[in-house]
Amino acid sequence: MAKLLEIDGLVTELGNGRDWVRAVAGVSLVVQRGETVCLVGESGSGKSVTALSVMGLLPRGRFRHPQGRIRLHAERADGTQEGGEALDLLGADAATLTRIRGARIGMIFQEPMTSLNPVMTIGEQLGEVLQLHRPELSDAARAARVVAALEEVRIPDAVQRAKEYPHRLSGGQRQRVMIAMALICEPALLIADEPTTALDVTVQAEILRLMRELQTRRGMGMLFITHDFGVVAQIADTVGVMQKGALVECGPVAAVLHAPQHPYTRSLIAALPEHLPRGARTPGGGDTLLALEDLAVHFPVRRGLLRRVVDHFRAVDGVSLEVRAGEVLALVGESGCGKTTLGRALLRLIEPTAGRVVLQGQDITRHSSRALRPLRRQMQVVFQDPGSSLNPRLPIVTTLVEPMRVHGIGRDDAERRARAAELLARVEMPPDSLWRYPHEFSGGQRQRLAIARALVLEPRFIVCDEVTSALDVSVQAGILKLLRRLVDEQRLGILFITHNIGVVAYLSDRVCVMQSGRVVEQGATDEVLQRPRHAYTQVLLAAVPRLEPGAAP
Amino acid sequence: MTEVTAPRPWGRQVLAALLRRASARLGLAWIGFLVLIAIFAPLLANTHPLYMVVDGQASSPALARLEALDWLWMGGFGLALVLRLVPGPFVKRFGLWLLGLAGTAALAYGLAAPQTLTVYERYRELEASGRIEALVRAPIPYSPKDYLRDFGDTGIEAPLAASGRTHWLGTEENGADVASRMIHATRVALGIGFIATGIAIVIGIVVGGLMGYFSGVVDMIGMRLVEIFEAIPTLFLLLTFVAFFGRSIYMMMVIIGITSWSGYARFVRAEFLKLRDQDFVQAAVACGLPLPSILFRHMLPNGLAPLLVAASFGVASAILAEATLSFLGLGLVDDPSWGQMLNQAVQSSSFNWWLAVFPGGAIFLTVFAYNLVGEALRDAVDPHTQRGGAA
Repeated sequence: MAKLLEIDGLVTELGNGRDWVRAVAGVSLVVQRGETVCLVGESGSGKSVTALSVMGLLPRGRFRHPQGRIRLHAERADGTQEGGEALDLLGADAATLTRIRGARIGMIFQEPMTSLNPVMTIGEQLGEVLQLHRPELSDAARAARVVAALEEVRIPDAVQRAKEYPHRLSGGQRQRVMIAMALICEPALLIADEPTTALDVTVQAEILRLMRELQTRRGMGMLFITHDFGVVAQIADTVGVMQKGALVECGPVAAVLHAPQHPYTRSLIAALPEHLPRGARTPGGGDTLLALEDLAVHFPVRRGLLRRVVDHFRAVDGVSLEVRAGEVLALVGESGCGKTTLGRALLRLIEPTAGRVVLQGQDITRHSSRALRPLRRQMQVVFQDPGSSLNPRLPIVTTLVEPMRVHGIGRDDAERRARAAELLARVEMPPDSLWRYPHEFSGGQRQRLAIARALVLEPRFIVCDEVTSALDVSVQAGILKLLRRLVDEQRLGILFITHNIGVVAYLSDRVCVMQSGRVVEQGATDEVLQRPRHAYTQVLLAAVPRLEPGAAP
Repeated sequence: MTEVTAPRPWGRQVLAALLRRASARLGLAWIGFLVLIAIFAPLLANTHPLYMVVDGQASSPALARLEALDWLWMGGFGLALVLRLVPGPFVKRFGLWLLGLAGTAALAYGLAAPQTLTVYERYRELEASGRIEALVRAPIPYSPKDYLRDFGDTGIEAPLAASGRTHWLGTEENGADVASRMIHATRVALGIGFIATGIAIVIGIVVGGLMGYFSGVVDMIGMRLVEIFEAIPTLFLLLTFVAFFGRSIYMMMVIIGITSWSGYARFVRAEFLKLRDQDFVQAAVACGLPLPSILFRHMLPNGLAPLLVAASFGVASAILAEATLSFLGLGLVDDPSWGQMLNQAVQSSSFNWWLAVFPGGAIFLTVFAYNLVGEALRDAVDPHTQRGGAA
């Protein structure tokens, strides 16, 4: 194999002109032709900045490279032939970079929903890339190339799709279009920055397969950035592990994943939920805390001038389940299956259309919001996004004390503050957090504070809506252990909404699989994960990227 | 429990970001200057001497003749100074200030009873007769309504044109000193700006907040209400009211206030619609917190930023509305106002430039200052323009 991209001692510093922060501290790696190099690391480890440095896409005036070289070999247009001299990307002028980007190096970003221009048709956007890099093509030839590119990424009915706008496509299809756009000029190197992170596992599996296939067919080199070791195992030939801007370990994928040398790599792999040690579970014999009976949430679809209701979107369509004391029920499903709506409906944050919500034997479906208020103490919620789950204008102490005051817990504010401090200790946060504001905490810490807020009213039942999805694996491991401890020690009941099968395997006692608003399979976690009965569960489990191919979770 | 010092609150951060901009400092300085002038107007421009000794008797006619409104302005200023020293959140102190202001108003209107008959000529006669032993006059020794009858038929005079008297900015058609009238008119300009905008903001927050939080039917009704009020031409309504009910500065404030809240309501509604789906609001609902707490404690402070920006532009437009009305000759009858002086500039046969330049310049500078502050505030509350990399 021949060298394609050579990063040599790259140092990237970000800043505002006066203060500089070292984001990448001396990274050296080589991408060979036809090879996939994965960069793994937690958020802030500098893996995206490395990719952006290669592309020269960092914000103007906000970065500098005190050291290092990035060289791209084979600058020829046909790409297959080994070029004589290598091109220094860091020293290249703007015109050269424009010529290189798109033509020699393609790039795919994380968020398919915002990477396409919503006011241009897909065909126009693809055609624009061609027009820039291959101006000699005629209009007809260009249109043919666009359709061919879309067919190559298996967009059905490509001729028609090329005339449509991005909003008509699903997330997975948009990511396919992005791949088509990155590949349309047949680049020698493809840089993919978390291209499947925003996608469902089944879609992710398809996209990964497609990328692998296109890469082998074209002999491209690929620099693939991800935080997911499962994805690494699926796609990488070589893997580099980054920590705080440095490449701590780099080697063939099998060696790094199965015999990691560096302690950081080892700790990362050990923190994967499927590797966390599971304690012995007492089979759930607690009393039923919450039961749903045929719960349905339908959203009206309004059309026309008079906004008449023409149809209903059945977000949740007749779901029955129950959560007992001292157990975690995991609600699994892909995006849009109605799991979050279900969570909000059972808390009466959204009004259910039909069915019953029974909280400790009491039907609360038709309670007025006033009658519901005292009962809110018994069921609490923790949300997904640590950035928005705490009021940014209030110190933590106010957030924790106010609900206690409303529900008459504690005699005076001093006692309530003492209780709040106690709670912080229980979620493993320092007591001085009380007097600080949410923006002073990291994502994982905020999620712990959100859990403290949920616990403040001493609920019996908590809904956790994707609480660890936005967190790094090592942080996620801490939160999961905390939740499990709370369930085991205090006999809480938790409805844990997630799309991550690994988390389900570690945390939950029972699993509920949802598809398009309905529960398709329900049962003990091990039972469902080992011997899925429903076809959809089987597809879902097969699509989950795992470290060991074919291994059971 | 150990009291750890609280970190910099958000309001302090915005203020710091605001003061970092030269334009904002300039605008705030001008507004602050006007506020000081408005507060101490009766001590700055007054025919009544600040201190005099006549036939061995010391007195302060200026203080004795302060009206209830004068006491209110100065009382408000004094209260603000005192409350600066009181610890506690800004909102609480602002509430205390309003409360104190109401108390001062009650006291002032209950107790202050100045003589209604004012003979300005008396002091000049006294001075001429040589009975005054000691005299301290205001920097501009003319009251805004002192028409200088004792000097005969004076009328309009250009700056520094009169003999024996010094009128820095000339006199207006009745013979009153323009500088004095301009000083006293700052009260009208500031008062109408703040009170009209205050009324508009309160209505806007309540209506917009309810629309945004409840959405659905409430939103639909609220939006129609907003559209109705947006269709009312403020100036025309003001003219109608002036025609029917006579002229009153308070009526003007109220009318400008209740016709200009629609913009604020739209801002608040949009913010609340966005905030309602935020997790921390949902969590507050799930905690069973009462509605006022959710609306005003958890949502409003997070949606205040665009409102502040709009308000600073709103103050400017309220000042302009009053000036326009006064320019059309429908403002206050006898009380000074910048717009009214502009009107006088063009009323007599000749163009009296000093009546156009000085009040016009004051209006321009004030509106400009508010716009500068609004512009800078918009940047200060916008997270994108703040220094990045802190997270």
